Amino acid sequence: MKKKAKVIALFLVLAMTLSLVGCSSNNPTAGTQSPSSSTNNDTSNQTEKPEEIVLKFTYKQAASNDLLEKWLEEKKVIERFEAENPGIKIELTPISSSEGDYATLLALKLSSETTAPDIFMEDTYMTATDAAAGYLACLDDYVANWDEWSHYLDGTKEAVKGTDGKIYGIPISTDSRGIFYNYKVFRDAGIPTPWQPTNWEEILDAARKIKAHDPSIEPFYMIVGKQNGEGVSMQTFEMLLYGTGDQLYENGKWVVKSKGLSDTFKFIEQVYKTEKLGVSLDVALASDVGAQVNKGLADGTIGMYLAVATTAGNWTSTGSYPVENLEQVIGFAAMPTQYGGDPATITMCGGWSWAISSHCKYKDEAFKFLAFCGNKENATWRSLYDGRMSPRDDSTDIEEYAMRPYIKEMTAYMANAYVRPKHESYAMVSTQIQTIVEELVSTDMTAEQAAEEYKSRVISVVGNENTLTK
Amino acid sequence: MRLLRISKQGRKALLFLAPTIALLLFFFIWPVLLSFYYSFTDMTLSGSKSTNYNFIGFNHFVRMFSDPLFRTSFANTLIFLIFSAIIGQLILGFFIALLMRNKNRHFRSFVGMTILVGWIMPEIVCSFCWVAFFSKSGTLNTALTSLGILSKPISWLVSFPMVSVIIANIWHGTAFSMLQFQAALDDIPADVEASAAIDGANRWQKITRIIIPMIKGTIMTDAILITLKTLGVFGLIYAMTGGGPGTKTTTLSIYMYRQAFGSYQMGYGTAIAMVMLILGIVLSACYVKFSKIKL
Repeated sequence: MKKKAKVIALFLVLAMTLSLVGCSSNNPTAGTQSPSSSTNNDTSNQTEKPEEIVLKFTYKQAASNDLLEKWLEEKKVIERFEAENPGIKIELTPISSSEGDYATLLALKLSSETTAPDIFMEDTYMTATDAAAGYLACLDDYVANWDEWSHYLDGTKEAVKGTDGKIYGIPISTDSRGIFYNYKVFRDAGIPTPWQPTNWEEILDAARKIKAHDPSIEPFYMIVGKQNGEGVSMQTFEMLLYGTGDQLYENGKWVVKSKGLSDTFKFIEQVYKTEKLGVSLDVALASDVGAQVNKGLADGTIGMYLAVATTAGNWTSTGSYPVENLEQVIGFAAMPTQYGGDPATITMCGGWSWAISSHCKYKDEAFKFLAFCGNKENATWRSLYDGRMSPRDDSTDIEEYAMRPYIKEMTAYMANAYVRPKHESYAMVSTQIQTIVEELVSTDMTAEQAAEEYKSRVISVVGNENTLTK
Repeated sequence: MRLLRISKQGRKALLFLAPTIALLLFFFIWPVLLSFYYSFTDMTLSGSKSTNYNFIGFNHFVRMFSDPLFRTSFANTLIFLIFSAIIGQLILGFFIALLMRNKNRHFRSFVGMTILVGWIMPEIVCSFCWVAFFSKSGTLNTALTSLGILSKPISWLVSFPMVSVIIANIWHGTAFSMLQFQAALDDIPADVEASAAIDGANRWQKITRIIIPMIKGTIMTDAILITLKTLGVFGLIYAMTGGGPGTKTTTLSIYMYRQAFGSYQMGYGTAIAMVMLILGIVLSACYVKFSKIKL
C-alpha cells in the first residue's frame, strides 16, 4: 500500500515537472510568432502551404469603435493585400491601451526577438528613441526604390527620421492642433462667432465670459492628466510653450529655464487653479476623460477644448458622438501665440507611422504591406477614417478628402508648425512634463515651483551637461 | 564530500524537492539577482542605453536621497502601510474575529461571507467598485447629499485620495486577517478563559493577558504577510488614482513603475524595487524581533 502511494506520488511529480518543462519550452515559440516559427507551426498543423509567410501587425486599439479597424474592415485592406500578394498573411495583434502604455508595451515587445511584432504603428515621437535602441528596421533602401515616396510631404518625412537622419517609418498621417469650441455656448455667452483669439488673454476672456454667463458650463479643457501620456506634453504644454517663442530643445541642449517655460506653467495654473476656468479635476484626471470631453463639447456642457484636429473624428458620422452639421455646431480656431503678432498662430505637428521591427525576418514582404497601406487611395482613406491629415500631397484629388470637415483650417494651421525635438531623450523629458503638469493642477504646487521642479527633474534625466538656462 | 553523505531519506527528499527548487531558482532567484545587477546600471527601456548600458555603481541610490519624489513616495508608502495594513487590516481583522467568537452559527457565516466578498474580488474589480463609490456622482455622494449631510458632492478621489485608497485596501484585505485570527482564536482552550474569569479578570484583561499572548505567533505571521502584500499593492492604487492627483497617492510601487515604464529609466526603477525589497526584509525582521518580547 505504502509503496503504491510512493509510486503514484513520484509519477505525479514527474508528470507535473514534465508539463512545466513543456510549458517553458513551448511558450517562447507560441509567444514568438516570428514569421518562421509560426510558419513552422502552421505547416505542422495544416497540410502543405510551406511558402506562407505570416506577418504580425500590431497597432493601438481604442477601447471601442477603433477607427483603424474600421478602415481595415470597411476598405477590406487586408483581404485586398493578401489577394494581391499570395503567400503573405497578415495577423492582427492589437494592443488595447492608453497612448502612453502603448509606447511602453511596444518598446518592451520590440526589445526581444521572441515578442517583437513584424509591422506596427508607431507614434513618431518614439521613432528617434526606438531607432537609437536598434528596435526599428532602417527603410532607406526601400523608400529609395519606391516611386510613391516623392508624394510624401517633407514635414512628414522629417518626422520619421532617427537622430542619424535615416528613415525608420512610412508616415501614416500628420496633424495640426487648435481650439475646438461650441458655437451655442459662445453665442449664449455673447462672444462673437466665428471666434479666433489673437493672444492667450483672449482665450481666458472667452472662458471668463462663459463662466460668468452660466457657471454650470465648464469653460475650457486642456489635457492635464498624466494618464493621457504624450497628449499632456504635446497638446497642452508644447502648444503653449512654442507660442511664447521659446522651445524645449535649442542649440543641441535641453532648455531647463526660460521665460516661456515659466509663462506656460503660469497659464496652466491660471486656467485650472487661480481662475478655475478649466474643467473640474474629477473629469480632467478621470481615465475616460477623452470620452467625457468629446461628449461634453458636442452637448455644450464644455465650451472649449485645446486638441488635436483628429478629435473631430469622434463627431463625424463614423465617430462615437456623431454631430449633424458638425461645422455649424463646433468651430475650430487656431491656437494664438502668447501675445499674437508674427507668427500669429502656432501648432505642433506629429503623427503616426508604420514601421518594421529590426527583428522581422521578412522585411521585403513587410515593406510590401507598408507600401500598400501607403499608396494614394489607402493612405488617403486611412487619414479620412482617423480624422487626421494625409501625409501625401495628392490626397486632395480624392473628393471625400477635399470635402472633409475642418480640412481648410487643419491645412492652414500647418503654416506655423513645429515638430517635437528629434532626440532620444525626448520621451523621458516628456514624461517629466506630464507628471509636473498634473501636480501643478492637482496639488498646492505653484507655477514657480513647477518651473523649478521642471529644471531639476530634466537635469536628473538628461544630465546637467546637456541643459541650458535662458 | 559532505553532499554525498546525505542519508537515503535526505536524498529522497532532495529528489522530491528538486522541481520546486529548480523553479524557484529560475523564476524567482534569477530575476531578483538580475534586477539587483540592473539597479547598478543606467539601463533604459528604449534609446541607445537600452542595449549599451553602463555600470554606474551606487549612483541611483545616492540620487534617491536627493530625489524629492522618492521621499514623497517613501512617506506615502509608510502611511499607506501603517493605516491600511497595520491599523486597518490587522487590528480590524482581529476585532472582527474576536466579536464573532461564540456567536450564532448563521450570524458568523453571514458576517464572514460579507467580509470575504471583498477578499475574493479581483483587485481591479475592487478598485472599479470603489471608484464608482467615491466618484462625484457615486454612491457615497448620493447618499450623503440626500441625507443632507453634504450640501454639494465632493470628488473624494481628488480631495481625499490617500484616505480613499486606504479604505479600499482595508475593505479588500481585512478578510485575510480575520480568517487567520478566527482559526487562532478557535484554538484557545475554553478552560483557560474560564479560569481567568474565576480569578476575576475583566473582558479587557482577558484580551490583553490571555488572548493576545496566546495568539502571538499568528499576529506575527499575519503582520508579515499583510505588510509584504501591502508594500506591493499596485493595481488597486493605479486603477483608482493612478498615483495622483499629482503625487498624493504615489507609493514606491507606483513610483517604480513610473520611473521604469513611464520615464523609461529601467535602472532607476529596479533600484527603487531593491529598496522595496530591503524595506520588506527589514520590517519582517522587526516583527520577528517584536514577537520574541514576552508579553
